[in-house]
Amino acid sequence: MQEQQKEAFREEAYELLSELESSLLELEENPEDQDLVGQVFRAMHTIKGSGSMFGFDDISAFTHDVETVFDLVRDQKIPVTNNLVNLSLSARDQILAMLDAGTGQGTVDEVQTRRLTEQFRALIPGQESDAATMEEEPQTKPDGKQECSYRIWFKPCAEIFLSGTNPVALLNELRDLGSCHIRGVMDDLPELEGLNPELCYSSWEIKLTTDRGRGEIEDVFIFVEDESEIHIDLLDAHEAAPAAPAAKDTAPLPLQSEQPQSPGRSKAPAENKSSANAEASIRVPASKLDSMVDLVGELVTIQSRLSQTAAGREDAELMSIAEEVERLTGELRDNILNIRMLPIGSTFSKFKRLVRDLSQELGKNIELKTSGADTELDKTVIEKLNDPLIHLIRNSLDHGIETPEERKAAGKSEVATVHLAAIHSGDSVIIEINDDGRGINIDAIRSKAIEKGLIAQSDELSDKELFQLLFAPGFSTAKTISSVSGRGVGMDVVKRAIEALRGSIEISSSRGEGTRVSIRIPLTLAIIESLLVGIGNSKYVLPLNLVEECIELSREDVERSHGRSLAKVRGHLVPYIPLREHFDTEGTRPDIEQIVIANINGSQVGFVVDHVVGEHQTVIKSLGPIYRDAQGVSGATILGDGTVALILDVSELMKGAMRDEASVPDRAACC
Amino acid sequence: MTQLILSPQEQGSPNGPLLQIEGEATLENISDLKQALLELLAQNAPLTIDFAKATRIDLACLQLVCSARRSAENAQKKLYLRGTSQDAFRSVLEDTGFQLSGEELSHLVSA
Repeated sequence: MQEQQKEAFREEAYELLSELESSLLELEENPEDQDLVGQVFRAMHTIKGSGSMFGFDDISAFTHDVETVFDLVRDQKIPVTNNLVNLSLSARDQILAMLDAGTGQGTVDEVQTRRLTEQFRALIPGQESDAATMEEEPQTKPDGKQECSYRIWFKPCAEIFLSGTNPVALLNELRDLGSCHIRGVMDDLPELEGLNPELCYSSWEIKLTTDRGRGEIEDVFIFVEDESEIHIDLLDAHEAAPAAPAAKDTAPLPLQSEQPQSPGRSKAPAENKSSANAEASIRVPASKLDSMVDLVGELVTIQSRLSQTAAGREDAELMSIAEEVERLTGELRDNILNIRMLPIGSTFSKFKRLVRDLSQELGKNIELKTSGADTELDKTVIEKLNDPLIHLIRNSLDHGIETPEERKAAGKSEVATVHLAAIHSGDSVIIEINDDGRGINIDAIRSKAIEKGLIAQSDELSDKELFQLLFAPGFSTAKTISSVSGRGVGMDVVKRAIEALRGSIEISSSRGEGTRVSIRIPLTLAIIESLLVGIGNSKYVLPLNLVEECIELSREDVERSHGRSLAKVRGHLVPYIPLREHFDTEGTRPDIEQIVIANINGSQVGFVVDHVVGEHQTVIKSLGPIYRDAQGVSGATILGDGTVALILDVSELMKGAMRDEASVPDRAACC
Repeated sequence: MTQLILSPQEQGSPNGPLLQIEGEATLENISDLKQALLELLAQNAPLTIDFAKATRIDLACLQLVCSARRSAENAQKKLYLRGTSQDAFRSVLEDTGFQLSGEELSHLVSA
């Protein structure tokens, strides 16, 4: 139970930390924005509060000082500076490290913790940064702490009694903090008939004079803050006179017009918002969703079997049932897959930080613009996209973007822009990284490729093909290896990662103007639309998004092409791969075969099959470790009649065919 | 175990009916108390609630009493409280920060 709660805290904290990061980055741009300061403060406060609740005492103690500083920022006693943002970002990373360490991943740099704590303490006026007092809670040292008066408005939710919390106990806790004047209010108490005696109709106005910080007052309400209305306002320090004993009058406490904080800025509205969010969504472990997707996959398979059986029976009633099931299964599938969809924005905000840190490191002035942050992609896809995107952005920052001097000399604005965009396109999402840097030197690629023996001196390659060479293993045009990029592993890893997601990647660039990397990723990994084809007795599946058209290939056509695997499609010659031969299928070729023309990274390739069955909903099953090295096949699926069909990895097949071509020189010459 | 004994008396006080509260007038028993108050208030006479023998009174009870007073007021009836200077009643007022308000009460509060 305790573990579960800890896990829940961790998840919440990870989320808060990523929010915190983006808030801090925004704050850097708009230091005056009090809403952002409030967001940072609340995030820190929640991390501290729930941290201590679930036994993450190190996190709680560390966050305490950060929170104190932001409390002062909120009260406009400390300005927002670059230094503060830097420090807070480091603190955020440190909390992340502590969280990770809690799960056994990595260790916490204690020295860094101390250093940061000291730096934060140094920001607090009247607080000496003394490492010796680190372990102590600051409030145990009241010396030097000023007494402040707070006005607290506390309206518990009506059901507070039922949740087992006694509001009076909270009031008593407040009394323990300092001298306290509590006035109860029961304004909207209904008449006896309409009264539900188990609900709480009371609220309180409390004037508390204490030397403890606001944080401690908030801690009192930590268990009820989500459901209750709580305003804590700092009153003027001069009012810090000991609270008078309860006066006999019932007039409300005089409202101070000079109070430094308006209620609109206090925490209650945001807290209400967060509780509304909590109602609107529930947290489910990803594994549950995965097993649900598996089940739907099974269902889709069974459904196609039902449809097939129904079609064979010619039973009108069965047919209508099968159609109904098909429709419902389709809806169910779409819904389930939709649940796994997440906006890519969370990844984007991570890159903001990356760009910020890197541009400081590289001494370049770079602005990251994003668009399409709400584009949704499968959760697993987003996770797997992270590393390739980081690599591409690093590349762009390191190699693509020039130094401010170079940019000035080239007549460009000193601030470089990297544009990260996600665009929805059919059943794929296109992610583009655009920079306005120096572009890629295509001649450098060419000479490097010749040097590496990837192409021959005489080869005429299109720009597109030359850019694709960048993805060849070990290909790096960087002259020096920096910490940022150019470590040998590189673009080929990126390309492999993208292809593992059944996606494709393309580069285009114009000299002096910038580079564009465009990644096309299918929306989901679990179920795809595909084209089912047959060769002999076997069935194969091709991803439909790559298929352009199907044409016939007669025996005469084959004879006419004199043994070259080329077909004429609308005046173009398209190379094709006879899959029957490729897979050594038994039996004889039918007189008329079909070529499925696929478009892979802009080039057309045909795949010759015996016949085309039609479109098919394919639930992707992995082949298991034994077939891990099988080339040209990316997975398998179970058909309606229970047989297994292999899913063809068309780009791998094409590459394989190109390799074979290259190894037969006379053939290559023909092409 | 929390126990509440309600002893309604038709002519328990010079003013009319009396509800004697004994034991713990708290959330656990609050529905019984509400029921008793509703019934007694329905009678056409001033009602007195006596807390002298109550050992514990909580916020829920206090709310109920206030609500009853509001109802009585609106119905132009009198509702008197007795025993409010005893420990139980005093401490709930202290704890919750409520005061018995209005002149009406100050003279109603009699030991």
